[in-house]
Amino acid sequence: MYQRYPKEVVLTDGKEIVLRPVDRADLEKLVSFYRNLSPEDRWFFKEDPREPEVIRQWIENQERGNAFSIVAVHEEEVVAHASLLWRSGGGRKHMGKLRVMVGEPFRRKRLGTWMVFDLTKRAMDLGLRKLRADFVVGFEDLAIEAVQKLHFTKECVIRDYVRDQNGRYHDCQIMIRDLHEQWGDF
Amino acid sequence: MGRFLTTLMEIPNRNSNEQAFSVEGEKVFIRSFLSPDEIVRLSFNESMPKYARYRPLIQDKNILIKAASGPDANVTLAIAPDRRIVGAGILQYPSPEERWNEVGDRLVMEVSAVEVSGPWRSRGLSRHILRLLMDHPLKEERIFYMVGFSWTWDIDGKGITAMEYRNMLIKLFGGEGFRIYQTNEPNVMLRPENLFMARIGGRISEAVRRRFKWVRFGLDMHLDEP
Repeated sequence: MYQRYPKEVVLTDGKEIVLRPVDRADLEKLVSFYRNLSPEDRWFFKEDPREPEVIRQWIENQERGNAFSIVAVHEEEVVAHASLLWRSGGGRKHMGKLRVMVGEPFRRKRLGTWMVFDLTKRAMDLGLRKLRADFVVGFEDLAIEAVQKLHFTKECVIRDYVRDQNGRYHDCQIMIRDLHEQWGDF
Repeated sequence: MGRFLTTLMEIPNRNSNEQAFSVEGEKVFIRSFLSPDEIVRLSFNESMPKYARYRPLIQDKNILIKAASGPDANVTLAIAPDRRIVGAGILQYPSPEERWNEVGDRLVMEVSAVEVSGPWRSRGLSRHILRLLMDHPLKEERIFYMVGFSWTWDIDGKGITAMEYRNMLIKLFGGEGFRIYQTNEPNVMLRPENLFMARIGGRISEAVRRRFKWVRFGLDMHLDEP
């Protein structure tokens, strides 16, 4: 079978990055990556990824076949993490959900774009029909802009859905990409 | 085999290589490094477009003749005994506007087409065409690349999904030493199933490999580095 990873990408500032699937040996590096993020960046996670147990569960989820995660590695350090999550049955089986976190020094250099692009390929390989990504308006506007360039469209906004550390409410923007568009769109 | 081809093609070509196959009782000959004169004498099956969403890359014989007249080009054809072209492959330098020329003068060549006529598909012809296409005397001194744009794929004709077609191409070109490389080339980035693969010749220097990397990501700021 053709080996698809590692994948080498070069960012707009010339930094070289390797994308590869997460494995158990990445646990400490991933914990360290999340511990180095600002509290604002971590705030909107459902769980606290600074906890090794949380990362361990994410890795086990991948091993069970309900998720696929990749890390971006620069000089041996994890600098970004992205996951594709899906359900094994039911009415949303055709749907994948994306979660991407890029460390501050590597933002605005298209690393997130490369990771979303890579996971979109994976989703298509898995036969998924739609991809969903949720963003907090006002915090993740650059990411919203970036995924729009990757053919995600603004599906809907849930008003005042999330609350920041100071108790202020923010809208949640749901973005969707159809993976099997009509050929006519070109 | 050789005798038939000598009859079929009387003009000798020192680079030319040839193979003969019998496919379900029908003979087909595959020959590389065809000259424009040789191609002129063959007939071209122009009934390739069968499905509304598919337009063949090679739509007439002139494309093959023009390619064969280019420097170092290899036009490899699959030819039926009645001199009909039933499959074709083209290896040539990219057009002047392509970014790949920035790697260096005549360092990069493109596999710009590998196509087989409808009735001859799914018989392994493309694998043989590609093999002879790659059997090039400059193979180790050049970077060969291919781009796969899903809107050129005959997915309806094959009855498979774009990702399955992509995987088929990966297997086909992977067998000839090609690897997937990431690139921000806008057309490749248009769709996730699009594909860029390359084979870097064994005698390509480290400096050229680096330039190839920068060019793939459109980073011309690094191109003057030693």
